[in-house]
Amino acid sequence: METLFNDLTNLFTITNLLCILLGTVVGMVFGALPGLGTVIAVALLLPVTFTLPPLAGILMLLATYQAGEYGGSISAILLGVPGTPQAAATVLDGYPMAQNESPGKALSYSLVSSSIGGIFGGLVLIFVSVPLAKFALNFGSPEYFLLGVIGLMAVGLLSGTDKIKSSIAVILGLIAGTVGIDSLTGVNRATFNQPELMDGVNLVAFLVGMFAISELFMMISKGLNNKYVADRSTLKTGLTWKELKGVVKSTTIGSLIGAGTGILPGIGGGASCWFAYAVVSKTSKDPEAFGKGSPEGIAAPESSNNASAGGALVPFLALGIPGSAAIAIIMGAFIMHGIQPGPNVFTAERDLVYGIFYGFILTTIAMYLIGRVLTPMFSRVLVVPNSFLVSIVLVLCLIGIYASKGAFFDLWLALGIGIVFYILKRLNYPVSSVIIAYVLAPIIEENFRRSLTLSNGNYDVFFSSVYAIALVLMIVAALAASVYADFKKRRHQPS
Amino acid sequence: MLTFLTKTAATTLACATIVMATGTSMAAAEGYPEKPITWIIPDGAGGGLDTIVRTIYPYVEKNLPNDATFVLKNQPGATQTIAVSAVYNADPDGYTIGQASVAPLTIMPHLGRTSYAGYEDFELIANVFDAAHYIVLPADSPFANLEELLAHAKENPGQVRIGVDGVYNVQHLPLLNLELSADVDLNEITYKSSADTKKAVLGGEIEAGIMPSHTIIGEYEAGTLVPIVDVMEIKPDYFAEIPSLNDLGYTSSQLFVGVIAPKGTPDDIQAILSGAIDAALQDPELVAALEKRKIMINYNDSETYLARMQELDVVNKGILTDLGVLK
Repeated sequence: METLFNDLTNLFTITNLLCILLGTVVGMVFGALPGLGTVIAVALLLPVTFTLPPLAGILMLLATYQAGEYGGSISAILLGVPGTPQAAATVLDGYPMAQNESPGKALSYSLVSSSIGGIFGGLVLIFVSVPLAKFALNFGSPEYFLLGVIGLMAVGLLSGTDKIKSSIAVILGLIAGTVGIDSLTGVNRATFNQPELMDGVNLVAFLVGMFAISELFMMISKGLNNKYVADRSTLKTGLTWKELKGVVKSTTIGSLIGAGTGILPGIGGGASCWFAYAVVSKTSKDPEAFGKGSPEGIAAPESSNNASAGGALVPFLALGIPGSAAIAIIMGAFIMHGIQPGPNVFTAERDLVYGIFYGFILTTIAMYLIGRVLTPMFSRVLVVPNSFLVSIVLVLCLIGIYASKGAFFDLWLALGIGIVFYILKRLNYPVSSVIIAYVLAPIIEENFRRSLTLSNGNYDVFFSSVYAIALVLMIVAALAASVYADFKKRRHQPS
Repeated sequence: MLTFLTKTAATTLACATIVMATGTSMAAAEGYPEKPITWIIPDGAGGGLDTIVRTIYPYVEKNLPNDATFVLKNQPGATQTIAVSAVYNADPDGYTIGQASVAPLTIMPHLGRTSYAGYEDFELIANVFDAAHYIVLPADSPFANLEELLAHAKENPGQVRIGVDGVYNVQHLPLLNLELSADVDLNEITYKSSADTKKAVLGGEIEAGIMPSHTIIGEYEAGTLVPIVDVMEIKPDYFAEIPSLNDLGYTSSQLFVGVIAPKGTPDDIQAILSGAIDAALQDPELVAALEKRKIMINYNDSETYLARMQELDVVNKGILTDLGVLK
């Protein structure tokens, strides 16, 4: 524990603090721009870090990562378009709260819970990174498959009463998730000979099409001359003590789930926000409020995506395994400076590692402070009449899609997806189910088939470890509970 | 008038020099480049190959005439074939070049996944660097070397599981070739990336995995991962002691990444580009930057680059034919 009292003078230098500041602003702005997102922000700043001392450069990228996770929720709340995949779940309650109640309040809930999640992730990193990283290695392909199944069951928890529509939505998402080269056999699936589809449906195009383009059609059909906010007093940010207490439980659950999924390489914030949302909506005292602007519905996914940022650093630093696309780029900064993340980094680069640990907490504080300053400005966006807003958002989205892969094909893809989702929304399909299924499809499918290859076709592999058995029991228990609830409901309402 | 004459004389002299140097009769290189040259990168912004090209390009610019500048264009996806197709479809005027590994040129065409027929549809300008991939065991592995692993696999067909980062790619093909030549049946497990393979080996999910050399230096030093054999021909100096497949009597594969241009790019322009890349890769500053990142610089001129590509193409085509997947 003597590490806790390390010399921190290396950390508090003007260069480091300025770098954190710059990273935070860039991350927040890029995170808030739909389609651009965290990965592009980190990639953009990567070359800047080559000329900086290692710690300053790495902290700048971590600040970008951290602030991007919060920034994604800004557009999710204000425009109903998640700036990053990790903020997709925030749309469900953030957007209605901003429209019906107060955009300032919705952003404050997001900022506070993001900061708490970020601090939690940082503490996990400081205290338990080495044991946790070793623990995460116990989760192999069978366990990932079972986790994916649990995620898919969460879709069932989220989607409303219409089971047929919900099933159709899930199947659509699963189909979209299987497009591309089958990574286990190399066969093309539903690619229509388009090389752009060989790596699957571009996630950015999918998100923008689903949230932005379809929402723009909705806005147009509702009338373009509206604006959301007539009363400027609702732009005020800040929460009362009582409001804060109301989201303590959901923030804690979100942070735990976020850090937990973060340490598992390959699951990612995109899925963790939905896990957190599903668990909190089921355990809340006020489940009816979810989807209509529940503060808990904002706090859960937001705390989870920031906690997963800290969590994702655990396997990266301790094992040299980057758990997300943004971390893979941050790894580039390490390698540029000749530093190898992995088992030796804690001894060979001790000062650097502890600088990163405490610096990570600083990035969260910077995110909170800059968020407080910028948030009122962001929420002003909703004072703009829709006719202007729609065109600006569309342009930003198109830039974001093109920037993600440099392919015009993806723009048409997003338009097509937008039209499909507009129709689905008009027909009251639970569109969030589509995106969760799409995110989980590759995790479920690949790990299922890989598990069976590992065991030469033997299904025992799904009961081969205590973790796998525990996950199977969770699935069975959740199924039993929902069947029982359904059964009880039917007895009380004889047809 | 005098200036005109001097200019003409100078130009003629310059052309003559180039003609003598390259043995061609064309003079398209005069004044080249007159506008920015597009350099297509088959990787997303911030990716491994992207950062390498971004490190190198200023040094190539410095060694080109006429204040040359590059415009970098990221076109990731489909095992680099999207970027390579973009080079294939570009005008052969010397203003489009592309970075490419061997997979889109010697594997993907044989699987029927490309609009171009193969490497012969391109001008191979220069090779830039090589990479080594190792078969890696966990620290607690019962095997000490490749022979023990293969011997065990021979007695227990399909029981030794070995992770690769894709199907019919630069890791998978040499492994399949090894199985064919050693007459063993390994259970190849496909992961999304080498990082996932590493996690699986460390977690004890598989008996071995193939990983790029530069990603396992830390684990090698800490003793948590043991690289036993290089599946590629060229070895990095930090793993010089570890044998390659060639050393053990099997066939090594090759993984090299160079610069290509559309077919028909004038020879003298190719020579200018190749010369600039050669000069850049000797710049001590760039050498230091790449060495720090464990990149094995390996400049090959056009001729050597082509010869290596031809050799590898025959090998890869042979493996794919044996497997019955050749298109």
